[in-house]
Amino acid sequence: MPTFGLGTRRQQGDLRFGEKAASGKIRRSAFALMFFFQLLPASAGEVHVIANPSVTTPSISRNFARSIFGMRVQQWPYDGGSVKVFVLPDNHAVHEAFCKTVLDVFPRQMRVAWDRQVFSGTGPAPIEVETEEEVLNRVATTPGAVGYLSKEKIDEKKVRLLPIK
Amino acid sequence: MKRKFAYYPLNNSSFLLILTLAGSASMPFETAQALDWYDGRVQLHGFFTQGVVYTTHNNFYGNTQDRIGLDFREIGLNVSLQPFSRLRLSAQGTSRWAGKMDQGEPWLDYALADFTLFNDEERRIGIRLGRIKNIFGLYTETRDVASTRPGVILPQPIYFDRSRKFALSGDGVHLYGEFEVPGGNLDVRLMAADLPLNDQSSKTTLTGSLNTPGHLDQDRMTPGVRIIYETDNKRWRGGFTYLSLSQRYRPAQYDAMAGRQVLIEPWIISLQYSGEQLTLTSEFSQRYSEFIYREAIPKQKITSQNWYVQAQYRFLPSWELLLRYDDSIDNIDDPDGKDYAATHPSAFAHNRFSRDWVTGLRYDVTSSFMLRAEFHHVDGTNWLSRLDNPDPSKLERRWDMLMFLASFWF
Repeated sequence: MPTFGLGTRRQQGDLRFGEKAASGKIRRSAFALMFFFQLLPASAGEVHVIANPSVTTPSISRNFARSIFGMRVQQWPYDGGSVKVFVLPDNHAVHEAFCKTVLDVFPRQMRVAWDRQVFSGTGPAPIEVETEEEVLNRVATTPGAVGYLSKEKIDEKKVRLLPIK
Repeated sequence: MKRKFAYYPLNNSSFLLILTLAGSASMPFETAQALDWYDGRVQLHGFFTQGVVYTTHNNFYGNTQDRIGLDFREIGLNVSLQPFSRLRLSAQGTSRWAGKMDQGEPWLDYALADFTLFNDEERRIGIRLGRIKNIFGLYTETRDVASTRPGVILPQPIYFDRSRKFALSGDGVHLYGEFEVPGGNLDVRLMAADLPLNDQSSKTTLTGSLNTPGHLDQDRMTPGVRIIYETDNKRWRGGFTYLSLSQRYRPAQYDAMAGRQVLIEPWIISLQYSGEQLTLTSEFSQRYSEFIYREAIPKQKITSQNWYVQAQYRFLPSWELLLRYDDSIDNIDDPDGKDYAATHPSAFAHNRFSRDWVTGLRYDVTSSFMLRAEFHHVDGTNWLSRLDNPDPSKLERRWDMLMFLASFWF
């Protein structure tokens, strides 16, 4: 572990000094890389909206999907059943991919909208579950439920796809 | 289904201790989630906030001049029930400490029934009845929930804390509609509500006197309208709010304050851009006030003007920087207060305006716990409460304020 004291630096040879500068550079670029990765969305494949088989609505518009996941819709338009929304945590890669690719919004904007409704009494929060398996199981067993999953996790025997028009 | 839930004792001193420990960032904080049952049809949410305030001059939220004030605390708990898909019931109780303005009295913040009247893919129309949060600008509805505020405190020119009670919620009816329109959505709210006015802080602000044993009565229900347009991708949000309050001061049997009628009509224009990291917000408001004393005395008419511009920059996923400038003048015909000071022997010009430069930092320790620090450099004293600063002659024109805040919510 090289020391960074000013006194020792003066006593050290050119080579050693160069080494140290290089290690500093590596540190800096490692930090920059970490910084960069934190800003990048974690990669997730294709994400699709899924629904409980009881939901009769054939397909939804992107705007209506935003309203449903924004917790502004309490009732399915066709059959009048209750809408129940399941989501993954804000920092989950699939949630991020869903917000950005399907809804075309940022996860933070969804959180801001939910909090505004929850603390003013004008709307409920979605039900947050930890894993995609849990999304699949909860949507499969809850009438009126809607959620999203990455393509490879969807089991069409349990849930149906809700295509975006 | 039950979830893991980190909770804190309600006892104030241990609550403070926990927050202090959390501030040292050594404590592992479990992420708390909302409590919900019956597939989300019953939900419980809440928040605890503790603030720290230090001012170089003047008092804000308690005795804070040259000392560390801890008299700033916000607690709330809400429950919502959805017995049928068309009907939601929800209520929230809050308790707030902020110097002499708020002293922890339990307060029913809202208690309402929300009924969906019409619902299809492009439109939703509904009605809310009961005690409902007021609609005013972008932040009023959740002004006491620290995690939803852009800073430790909201921009005071528009979200005055000294007369906050009647800005909070009212008893009445709201009609709301959400419509899909080209490029986005329109959120329209119409309200008619009876606003609570008789807390000492609001009475002092509306009448200008500390000694008000009488009552403020509303002449009529307060009508209001708010229209907000939001683009499809939620990047842009802009809107307009207008309210019209009319109230009458009814003096007590022995009262130095004469009866009067006060009409207050504020409007506000709001605009917000939300990117992935950068959020830019600006709101501009004018408030027309009319004071009618007796028929022999001419009406007093004043228009005040308030605005701010604000940038929030999330430079790392859990870190956010805040920069804000806000500006408030009591009378647009006398922006620097000189005419007022010249005509009122005991008044000071700087009590008629404020300009506040704010810079702050937010750190989200977890998704339900955050810490904040904020610095204010203020020129002017018009939004300071007279309850915390009873002697206006002691108010300093230029003052600085340092604030810290810890907040937990679920």
